[in-house]
Amino acid sequence: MSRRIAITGLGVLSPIGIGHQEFWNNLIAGTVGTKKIKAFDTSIFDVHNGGEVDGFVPDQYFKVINPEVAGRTTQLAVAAARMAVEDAGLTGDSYEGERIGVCMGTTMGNQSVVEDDNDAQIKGGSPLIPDLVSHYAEVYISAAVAEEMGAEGPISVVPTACAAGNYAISWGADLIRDGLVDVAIVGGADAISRGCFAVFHRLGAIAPEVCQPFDVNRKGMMVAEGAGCVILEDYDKAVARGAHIYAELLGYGLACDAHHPTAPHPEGLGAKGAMQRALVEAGIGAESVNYVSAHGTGTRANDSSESRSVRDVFGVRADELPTSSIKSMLGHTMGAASAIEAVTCALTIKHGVIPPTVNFKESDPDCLNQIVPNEAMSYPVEVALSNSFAFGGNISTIIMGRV
Amino acid sequence: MTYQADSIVITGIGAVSAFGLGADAVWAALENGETPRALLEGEATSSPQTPYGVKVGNWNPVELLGKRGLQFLRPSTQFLLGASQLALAEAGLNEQMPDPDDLGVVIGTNLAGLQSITNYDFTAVTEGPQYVSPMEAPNTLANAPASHLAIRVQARALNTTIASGQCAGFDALGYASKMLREGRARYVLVGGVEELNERVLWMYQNSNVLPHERPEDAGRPFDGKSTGWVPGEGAAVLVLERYEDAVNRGAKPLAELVSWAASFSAPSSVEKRAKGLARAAKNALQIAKLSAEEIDLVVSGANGHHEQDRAEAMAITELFGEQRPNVDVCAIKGTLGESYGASGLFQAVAAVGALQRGTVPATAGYESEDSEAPHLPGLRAESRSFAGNHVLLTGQDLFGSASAVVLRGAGA
Repeated sequence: MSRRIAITGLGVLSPIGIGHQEFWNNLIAGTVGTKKIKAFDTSIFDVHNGGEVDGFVPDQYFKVINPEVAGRTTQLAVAAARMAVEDAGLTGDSYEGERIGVCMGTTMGNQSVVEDDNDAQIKGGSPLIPDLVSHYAEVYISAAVAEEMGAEGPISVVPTACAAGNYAISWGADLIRDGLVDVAIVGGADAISRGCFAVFHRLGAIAPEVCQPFDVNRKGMMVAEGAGCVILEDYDKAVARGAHIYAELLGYGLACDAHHPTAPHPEGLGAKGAMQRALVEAGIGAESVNYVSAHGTGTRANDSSESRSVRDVFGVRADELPTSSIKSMLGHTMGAASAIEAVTCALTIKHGVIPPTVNFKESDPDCLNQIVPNEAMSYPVEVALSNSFAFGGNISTIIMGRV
Repeated sequence: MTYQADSIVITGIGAVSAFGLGADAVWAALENGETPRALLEGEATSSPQTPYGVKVGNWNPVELLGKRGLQFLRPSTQFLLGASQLALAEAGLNEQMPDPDDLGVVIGTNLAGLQSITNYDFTAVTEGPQYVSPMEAPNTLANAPASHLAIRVQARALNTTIASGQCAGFDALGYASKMLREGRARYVLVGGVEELNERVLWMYQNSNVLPHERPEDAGRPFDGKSTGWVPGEGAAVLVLERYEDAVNRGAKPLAELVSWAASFSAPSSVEKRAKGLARAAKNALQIAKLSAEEIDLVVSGANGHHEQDRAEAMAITELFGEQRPNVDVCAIKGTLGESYGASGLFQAVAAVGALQRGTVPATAGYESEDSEAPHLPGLRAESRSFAGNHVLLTGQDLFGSASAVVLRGAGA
């Protein structure tokens, strides 16, 4: 692990804005982006709110491929990657294509293709364009990013559900550490999905109005869409080309609850393991961390088990350590969530401001206390730890630090 | 060549395939050049030509997995659980399972959740959202097989699913190897799995890889008259660990996983596909510190689709043309079908078989050379004896990625 990893570019599309400037401004203003879903008819469901990316025009980001033969998840991924590559100041001359890899995470993949086809069958309509159906394959998300960005190194997709973004970031870091690439375009993407909504609806996990992480009266998560992308770069090479470095990726930790297909381990066993492993890899003690970006979905089970695991890892500091969940504003952007949270952590370090957990009214003794309620907080963040948990007990934690 | 302490070795193999349970059944079928074909009448509903497939068919998962909870698992998950059980048993890990924090799961699969999420959405809309089952919810995701597996075998070190299309199995091997080298796990169950169903066939049909005519001539690797893929299904699983750990617990290393590499090349032409694949293979050789001369066998991903097979033939020619033109080449998809995300693992199983049993698998279905592809002197339809020690696995995905893996035998 001799090579250090620099984060040199950020791209984001979210329910509170496209591009990291607009996103950040709304994030620290505490803007709630969840509202009534427009993409599909929610009248069959008991709840109707979610988070959508408004004003997204795929044509603006595609230069090589026709976006009409790409599912919306692929479109969002390409857009986030385009923004991140430009933000990093990478041009065709910066690196050979084969020194650039791609890894994207997703939960639902190009599910819009499946749902468009279901609609065509239900309502009677013409069959979908064959290329679009063919591009349902999840690998196309990263293949499209690679083709658009001129990447010719290893590409893959990690469909590890709601922790997928962090998994993708971690694999990108490994590719750089092993010297297989110098740059990794990594992140996650998920388009809003009716099928996904039906899954969480059936599990009784969706909040009717807003997402209230860590609140004693929290009522659930909210299904949302988005994409986040970060450019990881061999640190020395990033310095050599004079790149702006937002932060350094210090390490990651993986774990699996191996407990239940959809519920977290009640004691946060896997979460604790992932955080501890990430700290060991980063070579720092828990006392060095001064911001935790929580998975914080707003479900009863997640927030209490996550709180328990954070308390186990950070001890008495846990309830003073600023911890916030931006899902209170965005909803849960699925495979994009931890990638967008990685973008957030990098910006938190850059700006010295921690985004709030909004919609917060009353604390829960089972949950963490210092959750930066409702208003952003100025705070010099040196080291940020970001958690992501998923169905199947898939867990990934990443740590990044100021340089 | 002897193994090093930190070599990543294979100590167990399991498979659930059209040939039944276990790697022996796969090896026997490959050596005999079997070509089982099942007409996919139930799965392919909209095709002008009903294609053939290689299906797992009837098998009794209860024997291996017990009855409890099976009705809530998709076929793909059952395949994977079965193959994993067999791999653990061969590795000698079933009696006393490892500490959960030492055991990881890495699975290559792409389409394991597709049918389930399609039905889920369809039912919610047409019948109402109360008519979908909460038990089916986790099965809607691509990582469902891995998630169920981790719970069943108690794997807490890590649990990763890789979906890089036809390269997913190879990439799972590369990922798993990295996890072991970094000490993120002590044992990894690395597997590949796919299932055939109506939605999977829908995607394949729209990808223009299934035959438009003469479906009986599909699935002939490297053959000039092949008409496309014969899709396959099943699961193949390996137990990986460090050599030192394996010998310390008295396990027998079957082969070494020496290196992995991958590349992307926009798939605008056969030439570009070939260049990408050749680059991945060269990188894998370089990481393995081997020259092309030292490779004794190529287990190719050729599947009977001209564009992909020509790229394979061109890449193999570019790699070995001067240094080792007569290198043995075989392609196993004539027997096993194109099992997509599982194919890399099945190729690895075939390679271990070649090394262990001293036999190059037949390239079933291969009869006549493709006049538009370079001649491969080491390609034969029949199985034959093998005394080599280094095997290269190659594969490429429809959308432009390519992967290569090098395996080494226990050797003399």
